[in-house]
Amino acid sequence: MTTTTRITPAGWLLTAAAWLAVALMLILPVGVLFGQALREGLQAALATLSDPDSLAAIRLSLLVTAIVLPVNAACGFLAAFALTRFDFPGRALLLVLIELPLSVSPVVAGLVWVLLFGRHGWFGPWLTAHGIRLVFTLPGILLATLFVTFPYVTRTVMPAMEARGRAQEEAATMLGAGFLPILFRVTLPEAGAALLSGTLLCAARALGEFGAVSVASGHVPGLTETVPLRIQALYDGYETTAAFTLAALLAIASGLLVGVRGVMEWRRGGTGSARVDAT
Amino acid sequence: MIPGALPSFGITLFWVGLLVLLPMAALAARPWENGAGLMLRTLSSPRTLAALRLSFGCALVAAAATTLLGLLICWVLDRVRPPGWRLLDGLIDLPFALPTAVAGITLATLYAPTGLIGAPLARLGLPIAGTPLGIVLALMFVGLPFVVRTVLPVLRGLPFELEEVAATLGARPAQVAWRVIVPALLPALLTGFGLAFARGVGEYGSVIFIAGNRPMRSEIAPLLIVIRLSEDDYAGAAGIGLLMLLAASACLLAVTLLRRRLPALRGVR
Amino acid sequence: MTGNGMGVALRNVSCVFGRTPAVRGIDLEVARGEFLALVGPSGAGKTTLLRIIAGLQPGYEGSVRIGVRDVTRVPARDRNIGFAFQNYALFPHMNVAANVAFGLTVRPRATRPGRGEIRDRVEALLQLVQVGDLAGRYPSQLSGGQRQRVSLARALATEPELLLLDEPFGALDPLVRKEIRAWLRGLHNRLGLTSILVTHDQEEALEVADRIAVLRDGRIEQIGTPAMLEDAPASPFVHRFLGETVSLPGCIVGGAIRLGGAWEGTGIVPPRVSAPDGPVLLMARPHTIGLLPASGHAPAAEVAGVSRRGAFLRYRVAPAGYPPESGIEIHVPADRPSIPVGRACRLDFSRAHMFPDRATSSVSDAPGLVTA
Repeated sequence: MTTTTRITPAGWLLTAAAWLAVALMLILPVGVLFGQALREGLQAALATLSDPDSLAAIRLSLLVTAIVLPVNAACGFLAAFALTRFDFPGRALLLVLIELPLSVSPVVAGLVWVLLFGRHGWFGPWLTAHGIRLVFTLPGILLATLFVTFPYVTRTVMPAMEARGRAQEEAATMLGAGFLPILFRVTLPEAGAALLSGTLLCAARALGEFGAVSVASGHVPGLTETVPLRIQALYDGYETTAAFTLAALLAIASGLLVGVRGVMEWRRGGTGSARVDAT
Repeated sequence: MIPGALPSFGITLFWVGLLVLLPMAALAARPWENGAGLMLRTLSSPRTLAALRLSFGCALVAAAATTLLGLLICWVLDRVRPPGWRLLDGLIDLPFALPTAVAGITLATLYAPTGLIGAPLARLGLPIAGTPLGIVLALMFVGLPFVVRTVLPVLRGLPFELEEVAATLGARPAQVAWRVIVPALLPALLTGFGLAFARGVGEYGSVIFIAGNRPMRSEIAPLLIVIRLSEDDYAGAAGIGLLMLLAASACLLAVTLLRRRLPALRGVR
Repeated sequence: MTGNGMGVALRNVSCVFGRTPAVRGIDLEVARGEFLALVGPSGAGKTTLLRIIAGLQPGYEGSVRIGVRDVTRVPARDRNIGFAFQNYALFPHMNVAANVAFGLTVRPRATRPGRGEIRDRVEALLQLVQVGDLAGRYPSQLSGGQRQRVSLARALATEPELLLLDEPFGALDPLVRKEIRAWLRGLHNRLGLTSILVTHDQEEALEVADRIAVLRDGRIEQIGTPAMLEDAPASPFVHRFLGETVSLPGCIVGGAIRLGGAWEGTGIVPPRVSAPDGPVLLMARPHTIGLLPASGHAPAAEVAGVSRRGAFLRYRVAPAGYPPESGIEIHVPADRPSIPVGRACRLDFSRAHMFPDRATSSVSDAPGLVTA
């Protein structure tokens, strides 16, 4: 597989430049991350994790991910099914709408929910009158996270479904199968790998989202602080070891999710590791 | 017809409508609630203009630099293929795996006047943290995988014959690279650039820790949104947000249109 | 036709893709037990027509009846049609038995056969399509011919009234194709099916079908038995489509045919059929044209070359004084006495067909053409 062609001096020069850039830009930061976390030793680092607010942040992040994942996975999968299995006018527009969150700043992704449900939001007065608070609470965090992780599943599943064509669903139709049997017995088994891959990406982003959640959350320690927000609070409070330990933990979780996906994509015959859609 | 058009469309439209259309409608409508004149005056206030200039300028510089660096890395990964290229390939995705807040505090520490890279550079009189250079470096970190993951598949799809033919026609390796390969890669490079730029304009988490956040000097547009929002100025916040979204969309659209006009390799992504 | 009642009836069926009509006002009846082939070049609308019958094509006009049922508004899944797809469309994550059982296991509980019954049915079907020992394999482990048989077994599992086949032999290699074709025809007869086959291969259609419908630009150009199509093609298009064609321009004057162009004045034995006065196209198969000794003093055709191909001698015959390229090809069984190159001949077009030539109003001066 690996070609053993002779590498020219110029090739070595370019290689050295590439490695230098990657080392400085990518590897060194990761080194710093773990170095800072462990600078007082592993014991001290782990001790910082027992802080109740940090524990609450981890619990909240997991809860948010657990709610967001099934919603976006199911809806994203259905959207991919609708977009690839039927012809209809306005298909391009729907695709643009689905991809829109990718080009929206995370801050804007949080902002829009405040514009809708904040104190001065469109529905704010009504919600206040009924004693409901959506933003700066768990629902706000959920909505912001739903928005930023919105396109991943559709974007990963759609190419796989498109490449496979409609023949199998049509065959199932001719055999008398209805919507749900087709979805669960024909489409899902075939697109399952792509669905899992998109879901992993979705999970990584949901765990790590900072900007959107930061805007839509109330930043109340122990209540509406997710892990990234907690990291910020610790960092701003000069609790460097604690901040970096939590950051390292988050990086490991996120790295595992993205790494597993990379390996999956690679084995699916992809180009290598995670593709561009790993926005 | 395959059954299920109604339920799958119904759920999709509900999902898109609630999570995208409704918020986007709010973003589009709210800036104007105090009148277009006030809106434009807010947007053209020096502080807003400075923030927008900083965000777009840094994103532009960072996207350009990242594109060049990405081209170098892609070239090494596919055409040079040194031992260990797979490791290099895998490392490119590190920024994808690093949540923005994590990247933010890490880069801030690394480039701080006391940091591993920041300290020697500060001694040379080149401070990074709190300057546009710091923002650019953070955006390059975030943008690199976008460029590499866009360009690399296209480069891999380019037949070696292109270079061999050029070589038999007497071109030197550097000429082959610049006059044959790079033009063929131009659409992919443009797309990578566009993605990196669009991402850079809106980037928040990885930048605010390193930026310094001083009004007029190192305050990025997303941060200004957060500030306006904390002042309960919904219209002002929405105005900046809308402007950023339009600019990012226009950039992606421009790239798409430009790509269509490029003759080379329209079939290849 | 073995018709005893209606199999399928289409009334004024049309379908438009964007602005291009793919199927235009087609009326078609298929008798129960009949094997009909839809042939035509790509883009003629044959697959679209098949998908309309299946119910897979949304947005068509006209009515579709299957048996006694009007299924125009019936969704595909309730039409009870067996459909064999071009690339088989087997479910890759199910083994052969599960693929075949699929149509039975997705039925609502009330009409679903019991597990044992399904197992027996699947086994019987796999025996029927002669892949009884492959029940546990997955589609990726099968050869093309085996996949085709499994896909047929799957389509037959729900005991459809009607079997639709979309280019079912396209992906098979030629030897297997011939064998499975004959087998399919046998199966059709044995099960008393009504079948509609879409193919672009006229030879395949001539071999298996009771009747053939030749489609062109979304319309039926001609429909009839293979013999009818061979004996009386309705148009030059049908003639060309059904096989290698020799085509010469000519003109009927006072009931007698005169060749035009380079062949002007060449003496021939005229076709038995006739046409009204005016420009015509004379069309024949290379093997239906006779080569006779020249007679009289009419300008003769000349044998310009000969080659042996299988059981036939292929003569290239050109108008006297013209280069061989402007000639036509004539196939004569190799056991006939051979004719030396340079010999003057008369052409026997008594088995040829004549069509009014709408393309040219005057006698064309183009030399004879050979089109495949």
